[in-house]
Amino acid sequence: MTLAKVPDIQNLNVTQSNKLLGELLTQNPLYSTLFVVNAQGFVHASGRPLPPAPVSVMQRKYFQDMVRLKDFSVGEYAICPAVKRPVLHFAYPIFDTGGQFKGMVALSLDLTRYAKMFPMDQLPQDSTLSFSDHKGIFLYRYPGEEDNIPKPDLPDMIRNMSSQKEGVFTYTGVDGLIRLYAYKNFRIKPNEPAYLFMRVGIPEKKALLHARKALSINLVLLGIAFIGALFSAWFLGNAIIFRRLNKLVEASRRLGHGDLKTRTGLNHKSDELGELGKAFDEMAGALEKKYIEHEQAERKSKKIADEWQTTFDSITDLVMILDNEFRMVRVNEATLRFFNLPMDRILGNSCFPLVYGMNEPPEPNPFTEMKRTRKHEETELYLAEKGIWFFVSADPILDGEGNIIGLVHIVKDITDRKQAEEALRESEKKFKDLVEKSNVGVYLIQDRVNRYVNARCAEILGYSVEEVIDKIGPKDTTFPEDWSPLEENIQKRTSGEVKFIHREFRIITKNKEIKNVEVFGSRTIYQGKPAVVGTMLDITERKRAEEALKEKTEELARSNKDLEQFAYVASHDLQEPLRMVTNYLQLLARRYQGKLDSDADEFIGFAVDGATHMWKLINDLLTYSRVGMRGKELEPTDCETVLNQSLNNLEMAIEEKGAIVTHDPLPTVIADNPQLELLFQNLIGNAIKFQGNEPPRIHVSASRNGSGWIFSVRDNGIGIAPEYAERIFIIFQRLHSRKEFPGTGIGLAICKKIVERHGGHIWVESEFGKGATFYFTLPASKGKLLSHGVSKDDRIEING
Amino acid sequence: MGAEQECCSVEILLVEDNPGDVRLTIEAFKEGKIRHHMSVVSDGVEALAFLRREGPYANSPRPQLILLDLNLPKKNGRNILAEIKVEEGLKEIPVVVLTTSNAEKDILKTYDLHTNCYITKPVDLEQFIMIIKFIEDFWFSTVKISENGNTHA
Repeated sequence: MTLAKVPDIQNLNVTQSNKLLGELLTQNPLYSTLFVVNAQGFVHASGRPLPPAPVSVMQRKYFQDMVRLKDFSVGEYAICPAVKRPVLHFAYPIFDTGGQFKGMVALSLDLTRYAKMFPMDQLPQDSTLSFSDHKGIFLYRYPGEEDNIPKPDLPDMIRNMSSQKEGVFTYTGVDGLIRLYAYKNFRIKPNEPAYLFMRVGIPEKKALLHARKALSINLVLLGIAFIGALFSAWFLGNAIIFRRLNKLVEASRRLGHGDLKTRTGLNHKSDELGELGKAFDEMAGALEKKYIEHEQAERKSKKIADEWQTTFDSITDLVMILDNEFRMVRVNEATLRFFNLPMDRILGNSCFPLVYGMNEPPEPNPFTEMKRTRKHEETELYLAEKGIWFFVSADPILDGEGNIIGLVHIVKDITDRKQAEEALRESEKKFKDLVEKSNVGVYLIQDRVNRYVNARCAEILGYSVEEVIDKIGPKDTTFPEDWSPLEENIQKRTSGEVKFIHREFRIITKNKEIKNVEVFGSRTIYQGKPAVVGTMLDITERKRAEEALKEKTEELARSNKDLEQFAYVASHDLQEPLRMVTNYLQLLARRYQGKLDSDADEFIGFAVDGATHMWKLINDLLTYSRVGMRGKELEPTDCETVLNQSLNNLEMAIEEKGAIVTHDPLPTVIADNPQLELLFQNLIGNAIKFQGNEPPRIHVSASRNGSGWIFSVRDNGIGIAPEYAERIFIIFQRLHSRKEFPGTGIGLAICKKIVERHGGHIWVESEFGKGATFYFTLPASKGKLLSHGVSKDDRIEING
Repeated sequence: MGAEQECCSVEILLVEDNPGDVRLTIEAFKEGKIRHHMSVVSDGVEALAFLRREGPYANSPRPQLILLDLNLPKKNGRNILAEIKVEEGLKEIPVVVLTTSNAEKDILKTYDLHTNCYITKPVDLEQFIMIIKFIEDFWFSTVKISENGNTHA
């Protein structure tokens, strides 16, 4: 029977089984009871309330047959205590999934009500119907009285019905009527004794009468009519009752084997057997529905369980369900991962050694408090040994009466957060110290008032911090003339129009002292509103120093200029008298040489020599001073052209010494053309003058160096000892006597001045006796040049 | 031509305030071979009066060559040169500018005055005499000067 397959029944779940059986009983009035029996024969569950004492069916036939055959079994005549009517028990075995016999489901069929369904009125008058059990005790008899006294069938009858499975016989009843009986007996298996006998009796006369209708013509056919009557009796019994009953039994059997789709296949006619079939089908339908519902419910609950588990395991925090002794009953995946332990090493153990490395709850802990408050408690813990910060919480699990039966313990590793917090705190302290102890004033202005100033800022303003914060604003301390532009600036900064501002202005301190301050302010948001935050420097001293420096610089520039002017004017104006001296000495020599005595000739000679040298000195000095004083505007200048011009000027010297001057391709630079010409002329002239043993060979080249050019003038002359490499560029410094090499000692000083005016520098690389290479740099672009080259004064001079 | 030069003295005006230079120039011309008559004025105003035959210079000769120093009292050489070069009857007279330095020569160039020749007053007398001789050769031997003072190169 299907019931036996229902898990609740299989598992012998009492409450569920009782409920289910009760429902089935309501749906099937033919069953007087429905109950479940365990393997020991005790009633385990029942559709009707059970007596308090255990009820055993161990002695019942159906239980014993069941234990013996492990198959459908049928009982015997019994009075059902619940309905107080005779009933016949049917039982179906229950097996567990392993095929082990676990008990049975039994029902008692109220045969009285069952038999009433049979259409007796369709049978001829005086027909009889009876059921009897295996012992021949009448279970039902029609016509008969309804009492609860067992009545044995006639032994002849039992005998007549036992030989065949079904058949007919005639028998004279106690009422004297001879009846034709059709019978059928039912067995579990062919060689088992019958468990139910059923027979229908039809009065012989009626049967014959019935036969005569078809075959009354002659007696020959009487025998056939007799057989037909017998058949008819069998047919009636079989067709109307047995066949339908067979179907019912068959359906029950299939249902019993778990085929919930089984239906009787009977037409649900309005007769009682039809009702039975309908009832069966409904029962089967209800069972199937129940089973589907159960399966759905099971699937649903499994799904819910799965979902819960997935959720549980998805939590990254360690979640532990603990019992009252803090033993872990259930933990999520995160817990296993964190401790790298399998589930069986965790479950059942106290959480404290595992999580906290101690046998008792750590301090502080949420557990004690939770037990007291019966509410969620949490705390943060530092495990020094592991260097881990935990956030731990405990939530009580309460039973229906509010008793704590366990707790949910959640552990979260918050080490990173804690470290970040610590870093933030340290950073905050660092910046706070920086601001508070800074020697730079720090302020925050909002709504025209200082919302914050540090000690230094207050000190600059001449107040205490308390006197400033939230009390006075920038207007109160700013020098009145400087306020208007400053106010505009503060507004622009606050509105965000200007993000960052740097200003210098004057303030008036509390003591009416005027100071210069410099502020760097930028926009910020303070307490949700725009504000200006910035730093303030007291630059009063710096301003004074700057002013002084500016004055000094101007003075220096003035004096430098005066000096240059002096040098220029001196050298220029000295030229005239010197020229007189020189010329008249020469005239003297020209007219009177040899006409005076030899001493006079010598004296005149020295005088001419000295005057001539002085003339050269003054002329060179004038050239030197003119480099700064009378320079031309710098413009793109082709160096090759300039070099050729220089070589033209030196033509005589080159020819005289047999010098060879070569050069690489030279660039165009930004320069003062005549000065560049003079530069080349002086350098090449020097190279020729300081000739070695060989005829002078001079090479000029230029190479790119960043934004400028490096020029070189290489010679094979006498060279310069490295210790003099710097000295040779100083004015009037000479390494040789005028007798060895004539000259004024100004040439290289002029070169240096020219190069420096162009924003470059000049140096020499040489060894004595190994030739020398003079290098100088010139910027390539005008923009670079102007930034550190020509001074404003130079340009004014040129234009004027 | 030589005969012509011998019979005709060349009229020269020297504009120079420095007596030393005046004498030196005279002495240098003495070293030359050409007959000449040199008038000397010591400032720009006098120079113009001489050329225009004004006041005491009403009977002054018309010079065939002007030697002009740039640094003069009252009116400097640059201004005199500018006036001479725009004045009819004077602008044809060749002017040799005597400068004390190349720098002055450069400055003068920038004014684009139609100066015929520049001489830097040399510190070397020999050089000066050579230059005077060169001027003599150039102006009086190879350049034909017409009666009305026009020069033809």
